[in-house]
Amino acid sequence: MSTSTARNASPAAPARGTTLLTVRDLAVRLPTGTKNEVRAVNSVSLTVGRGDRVGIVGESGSGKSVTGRAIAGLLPGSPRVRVSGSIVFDGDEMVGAPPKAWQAIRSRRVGMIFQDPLTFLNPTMKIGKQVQESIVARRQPGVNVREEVLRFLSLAGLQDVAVLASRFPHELSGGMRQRVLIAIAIAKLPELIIADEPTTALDATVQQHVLRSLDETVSTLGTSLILISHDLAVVAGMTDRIYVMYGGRVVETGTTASVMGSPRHPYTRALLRSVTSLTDEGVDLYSIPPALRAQLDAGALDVVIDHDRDGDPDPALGAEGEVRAS
Amino acid sequence: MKAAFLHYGKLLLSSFILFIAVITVLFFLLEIAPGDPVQALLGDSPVSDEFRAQIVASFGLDKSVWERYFIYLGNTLTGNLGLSFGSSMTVAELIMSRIGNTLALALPAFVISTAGGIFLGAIAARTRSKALDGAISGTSVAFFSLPNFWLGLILIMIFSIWLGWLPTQGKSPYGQDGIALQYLILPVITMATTELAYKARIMRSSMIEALGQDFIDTARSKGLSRDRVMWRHALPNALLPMITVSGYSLGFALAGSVVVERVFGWPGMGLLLYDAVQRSNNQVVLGVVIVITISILIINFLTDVVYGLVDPRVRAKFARSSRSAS
Amino acid sequence: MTVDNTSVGSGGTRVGDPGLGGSNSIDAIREDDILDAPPTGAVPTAPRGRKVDSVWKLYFRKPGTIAFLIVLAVVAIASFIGPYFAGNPVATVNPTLLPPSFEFPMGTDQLGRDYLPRVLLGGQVSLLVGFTVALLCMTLGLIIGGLAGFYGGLADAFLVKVAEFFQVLPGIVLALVAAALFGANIWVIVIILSVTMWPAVARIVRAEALRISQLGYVESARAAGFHSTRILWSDVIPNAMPPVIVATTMTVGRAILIESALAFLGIGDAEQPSWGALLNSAQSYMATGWWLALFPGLCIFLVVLAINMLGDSLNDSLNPSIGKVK
Repeated sequence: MSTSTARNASPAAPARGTTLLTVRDLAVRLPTGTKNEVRAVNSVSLTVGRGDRVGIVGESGSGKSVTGRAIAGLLPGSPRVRVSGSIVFDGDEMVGAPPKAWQAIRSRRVGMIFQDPLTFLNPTMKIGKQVQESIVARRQPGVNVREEVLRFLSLAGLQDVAVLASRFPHELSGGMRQRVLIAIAIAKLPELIIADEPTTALDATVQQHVLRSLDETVSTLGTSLILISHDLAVVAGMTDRIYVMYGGRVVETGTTASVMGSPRHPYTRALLRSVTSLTDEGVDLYSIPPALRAQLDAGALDVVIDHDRDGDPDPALGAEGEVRAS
Repeated sequence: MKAAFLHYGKLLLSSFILFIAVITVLFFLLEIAPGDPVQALLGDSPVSDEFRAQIVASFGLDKSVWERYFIYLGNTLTGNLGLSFGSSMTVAELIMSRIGNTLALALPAFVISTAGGIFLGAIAARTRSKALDGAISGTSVAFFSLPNFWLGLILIMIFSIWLGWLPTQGKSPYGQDGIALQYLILPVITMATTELAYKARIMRSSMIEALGQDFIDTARSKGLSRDRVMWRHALPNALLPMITVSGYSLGFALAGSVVVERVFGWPGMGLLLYDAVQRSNNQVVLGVVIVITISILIINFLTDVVYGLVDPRVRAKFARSSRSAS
Repeated sequence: MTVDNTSVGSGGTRVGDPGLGGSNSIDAIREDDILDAPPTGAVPTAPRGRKVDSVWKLYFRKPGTIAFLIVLAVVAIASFIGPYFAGNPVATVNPTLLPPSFEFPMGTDQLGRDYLPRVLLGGQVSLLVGFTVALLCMTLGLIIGGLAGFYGGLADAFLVKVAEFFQVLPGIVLALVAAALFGANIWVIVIILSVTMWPAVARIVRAEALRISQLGYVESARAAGFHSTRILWSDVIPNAMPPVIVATTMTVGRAILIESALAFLGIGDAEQPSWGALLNSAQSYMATGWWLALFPGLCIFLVVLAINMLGDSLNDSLNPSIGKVK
């Protein structure tokens, strides 16, 4: 939990300026095996304002990535994938919208940064070309594409961009590749960037550098950001507001400072505790107790604690976070 | 660059070693064949004493096994494939006179089957219509389950005998030199069809696999049209394995020409082999086999070279290693 | 006909169908439907234990499977038991070259023999050769590929070279040489075909062994003190079986095709002509007895088609493609 502590001190209001994205009761069902399906996302609601930086944090299987993809319209194309609920982007309802509408969103308004830069870049296409596609999709006539490519590569924190543009992904290091993914996302000058575990595949030292690049880029362009990660430190350092997810649901939300500082949902508390137990001296390693997990999985703790709305802790929850008999 | 030369040099060397190994095996087979070595080379037909003496001298058949081996090896490497009885030409000359005809079938068949296979496979992968995909896949499996010589017979029965549109046998009308076009049609179709079906299947699965890669998500996230994603991102990556498949199959097609040439009485290397086997003209048999082996080794080598030139990852590997070496 | 890519590791013939249908999606986001993602690796994840049951269940539920198994069963029964009921295959008492009729369902041949029993008998050799070769290939492939993939190092390098060597000479060509030198003999053919076709299977076994060896439980088995050889045979090989079974199935088809090609070239058992041999004789009578060429070839086609389809759907059952779930 090191970078940009200034972030945590920003105002508590949910939206700075107008609302860009409102997601309400989003549910995504994905097929598993040939007949079954699983609810990867189960009634998630979130809001992102213009210029906001929002984090979605949770463990693997919490549905955070699927949520991000659903918003970007990048779920698998199988007809067995089912989405319900509402995703309103700048006033337009996206659930059920025709492919053309989604295409328009993806080409100009929402950019996505993926996790593993090695597999997410086309191995047979030059870097410059891959960034170029983002720019061309903008459909902005009178733009010097070549210059723009180099501009965005620099903006993403890369050096020697002229040379780099004619290289192939395999010739770059992991950190550089991730910056290329950032460049690809920002080159379309989007209003919203969704970064799905952007540093998970990188070494610890490189992570910090790439995060800084992302931070600067997003600041410079004034883009909204949804940062998805399992790593609390990453999310805490870069976001104003945070959504904690477990098992396809949001369990707690509020400003990053508030949620991190005084978590109320048992899961969030356990999560924070397990992270701090890693770094604190003389504390045994803490992991989420099986009993808690059982409660969570059974749906006993299906409450959404919203720090901006609730004054007091949920009366159904005890001081230790256990569910009180009602 | 140096790394590239080293790599291909090694490949060439191993091809050469394989070649020597094959010759050794053939020599071994000659040795263990029933009857005396001279008879093994000459087969069953009676020959004049002069001819016999010639053979004995040329192959050193009166010497020890090791000497015979090295003489045989030496002969082969210098292009002395022996003499064919019943013909005034040496085996080498005989083969050279016929190889052109085989290539006249094999090369067009190669071009047609590769182009057609890539085209159909790509279409099958692209289409949203399960009916079209199923039709292409189904007919592909059907066609590569056909014995190609049977296909040839059926084609002759339909187009030559019943309809009378095309000639049945040979490469040109009686007495005419060179290859007449209408004689080429059925044999080439016969050679190309089963190969085409096979390549279409491989291309289809290669495309589907490419479409499942992560970088397709990145491409989609740019809002690119479905076609662009398919042809500019998936296709180039799907073509890479096709290079290897096509190259290797050309070599095998040369071997399979025996059968097609027999069906159509096409005077190529394959028919030469067939006739020689029938008459136990073993020097010719071995000579053709050696030429086929060399051809396959050369084709495989060239295929690897082409692949290395085309796949940027291989190019990068060479560039990297030579950079680190210097 | 399998292929080894030098740097991209895709294995042999891989076929896959998109999607398995399943539940309807109506409230899904209407999306650009790039086809469902296929398996991402070159080999399928080996199902184990109960999962294997579900693979078999899936397999047998496909309509094609039962149908083609019936076809195979019918052909096998017809070949081995049919001749007892069909009529006399060698008696040359009937009028020659009679077209199919009620009395002679497949007509009579050029010597007045009832063609139906001859065709039925022809199946025996083809089926026996096909299955024997496939079994030998599977055995050799399992042993050599398993050793290579599991032990790695020098043994692996050596065995790979050995496999390469056996793949250089096409089976047909080698068989022709053997026929010329030793005379045609069904066992020679079986041995030669097995010797030239096992590398394809071994390649797949090796890839699987390599993959499985790196999974956790091999390490733990070693740590538990189990002898390497035992781990190989009781853990690694059984889990490598699924793609091996698919490959072996395809080998049956290829072996039958090559055997019939050789018989067509006159190399086979003179006493009991296989389908290919029947086609050889039929060549001279294309104008006067079209049924002589039609029926044996049709049988080859049906059998190989059934086998290929069965192998195909087995492959599909092992790699169900549902769409990427991230």
